[in-house]
Amino acid sequence: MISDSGAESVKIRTTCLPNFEVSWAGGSPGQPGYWFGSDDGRVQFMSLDGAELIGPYAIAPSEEAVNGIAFAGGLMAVSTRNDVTFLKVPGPRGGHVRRTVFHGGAHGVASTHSGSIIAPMGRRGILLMDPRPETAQRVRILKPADEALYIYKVVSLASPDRGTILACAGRRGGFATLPLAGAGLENYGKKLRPVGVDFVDVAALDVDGFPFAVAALGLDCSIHFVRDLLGDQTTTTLHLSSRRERAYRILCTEGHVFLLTDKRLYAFKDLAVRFLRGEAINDATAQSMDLEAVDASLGPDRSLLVVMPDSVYPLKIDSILAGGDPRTGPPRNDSRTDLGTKRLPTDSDDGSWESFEKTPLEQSEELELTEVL
Amino acid sequence: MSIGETSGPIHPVPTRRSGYLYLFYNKHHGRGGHEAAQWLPSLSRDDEFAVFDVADRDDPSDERGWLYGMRPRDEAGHIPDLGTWGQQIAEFPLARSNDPWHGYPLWPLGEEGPENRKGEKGRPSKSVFLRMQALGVITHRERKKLYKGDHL
Repeated sequence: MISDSGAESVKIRTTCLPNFEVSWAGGSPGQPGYWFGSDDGRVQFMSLDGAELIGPYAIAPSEEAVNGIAFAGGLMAVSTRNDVTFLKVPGPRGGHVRRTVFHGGAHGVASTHSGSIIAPMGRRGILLMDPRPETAQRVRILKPADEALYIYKVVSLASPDRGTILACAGRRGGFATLPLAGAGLENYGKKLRPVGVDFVDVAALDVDGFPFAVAALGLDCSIHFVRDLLGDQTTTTLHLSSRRERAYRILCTEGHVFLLTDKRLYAFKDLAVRFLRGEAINDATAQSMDLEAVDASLGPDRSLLVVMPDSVYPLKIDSILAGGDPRTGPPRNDSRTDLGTKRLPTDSDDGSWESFEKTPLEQSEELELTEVL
Repeated sequence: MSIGETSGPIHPVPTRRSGYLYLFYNKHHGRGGHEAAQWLPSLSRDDEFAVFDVADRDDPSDERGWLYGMRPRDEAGHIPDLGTWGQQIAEFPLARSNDPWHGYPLWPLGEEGPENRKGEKGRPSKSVFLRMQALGVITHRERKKLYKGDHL
């Protein structure tokens, strides 16, 4: 069922950096602010109020567009389609930045709960860098046991008593879990491969008490929820039935779910919480905002950062959910978009999982990184 | 790159602009093993050739003279996949004189290890995407996504 409410125009604050074409944006784990990556492999920090800038620093040797930045301890990892670079988090004083590089591309980069860095590398598998106090020197490559998997996105899930697993969006090869460490990991992981679904993203639901709850995103805008990836064999799927849109990104925070497509940003208030409570979610209602965005990520100060072709929108979560004015402060530039409420057609189904018959860790290789002067 | 005349059938018609012959290389049509990129089985030979024909016409080429192409948009305005792993771009290595050209779906990531990749850029180079944008094949937003190795 679809029912559109009247759309209203709203103003959105935008952020632009001079001489810096933003390709990726995310929050800073230390000082409150934003980290940006550029189309030519540079990174730059900006404080929340825009008053303090660090960089830009040329990081990626390939000078390709940054598609992810992650932090672990004092280390920073920057990924492009051609390389993954590791360095100590740059400070405001500038100067020479010592880097080590893995000369192979990744679709992004993320940190794990134990402080490792992980990067999805397509058919090659997953890059894993264990935490080290000094600059990283070596990485491991985890090859998935199933060669059909093309590792496109990966997220870490963990609990102190049950261990750590990786959840992977594997394109047409399926949605897979790979055990990483811990006492509760008796198996070699498992895979869900519904017919015709092309998995393009995955996100932890990030709700207290559900450390292994995830949502995987299909290119067809289907959202596949699992309450406990270690224990459940059931998947609940929300079909947006949107043949006119392609899914780009799923983000989950505070019990809400955000979906970025090639045409819109959808905000499903309390959807993750409702699913985890066991409530029916086939009447999900979403706020939607017309946006032709490049990418989106969770930002600082309870915001989403939406990368547009020429700028970045920092959008307050409360404003998106309320359907009101998402301005977060005095606008530097103004853009207009439409914000409306849509009730989206959905249904639920169960999926069946296949277990892997061998461990992906047996096929890992360890590689020396190259130091960049 | 010489690939021999026994490695697949040749399209009966040459390209309209340059008169290039095109070979459907078996390696990329189900006989190349897991490591070889594969054209979608549902993509007809005529459709595969059409990607090459348009690439020859529009010349989105890199500094080596290799050509790159995409399928025409579908009714929803999306660029369809052309490879079995969701690839949306095809690469056509420069053929030697009088040899037929061939092509394959291009992996979006640079994959070689450190010893082979020092200083090498991703494929295709960013100039190819800029050319595609200038031709109106892709939008500014889509160019930025392709820069990152993202799907469209």
